[in-house]
Amino acid sequence: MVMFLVSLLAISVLLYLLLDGFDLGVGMLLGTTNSEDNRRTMLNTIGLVWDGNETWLVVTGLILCGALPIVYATLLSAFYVPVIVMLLGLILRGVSFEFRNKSPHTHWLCDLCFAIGSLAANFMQGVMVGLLLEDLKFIDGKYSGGLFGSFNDFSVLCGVSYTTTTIGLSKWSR
Amino acid sequence: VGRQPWTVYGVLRTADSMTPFLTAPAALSSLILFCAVYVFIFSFGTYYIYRLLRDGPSVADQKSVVAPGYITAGE
Repeated sequence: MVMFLVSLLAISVLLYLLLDGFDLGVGMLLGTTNSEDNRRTMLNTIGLVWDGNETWLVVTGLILCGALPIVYATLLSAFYVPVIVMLLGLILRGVSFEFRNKSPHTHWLCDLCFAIGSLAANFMQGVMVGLLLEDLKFIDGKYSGGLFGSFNDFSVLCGVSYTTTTIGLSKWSR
Repeated sequence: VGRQPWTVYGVLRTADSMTPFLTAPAALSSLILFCAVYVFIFSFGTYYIYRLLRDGPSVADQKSVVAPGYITAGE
């Protein structure tokens, strides 16, 4: 049973990283062009699928919370800062995506929020991957790395390389 | 609050459900951050709704002369 749940978790994480990585990459690439036509084309490529892709993150959270509560509690405590920054980024980019159509005069603000939100979410995901690859510090089953223990050389490097990879993924799949 | 000191009534105490190293200022700053982002978003949302109401429906809208925006999955 545990094996099944862990495989399910692995599948949903993988699908999320691949599918939403593409959305986030497009969000970051939006800053590379000033042409409204290009930006609209870019947003059109993800317009129909990004909600669905982000649902895999919800599935991941749900499996963790429902099936592996100890992992959920431990990891989310350890990843306090990255998770919160990631959520704020996802909130910003989701809303600016929906607001953009309604706001002909504030496209620049929506695009800015979209790019910044995408970058923040993506970078923090990379940081979390880096932390998982490394040894997380635990004492008595509780994370002991401190609030900003999430950010060390290795995890930040992972964040940067993950972000670059994502941008590459979006660029390539275009 | 009525449910205190339980997070899950009769099962888990709030003291046991706390993140071990989380300090009050850290929790407060994350709360403030969330509030700030929501205020930012809500003020813009209100502004867009206000503008929609102020402009009202136009003839151009009915004939759908306005170029359609990009497609979203709707919400």
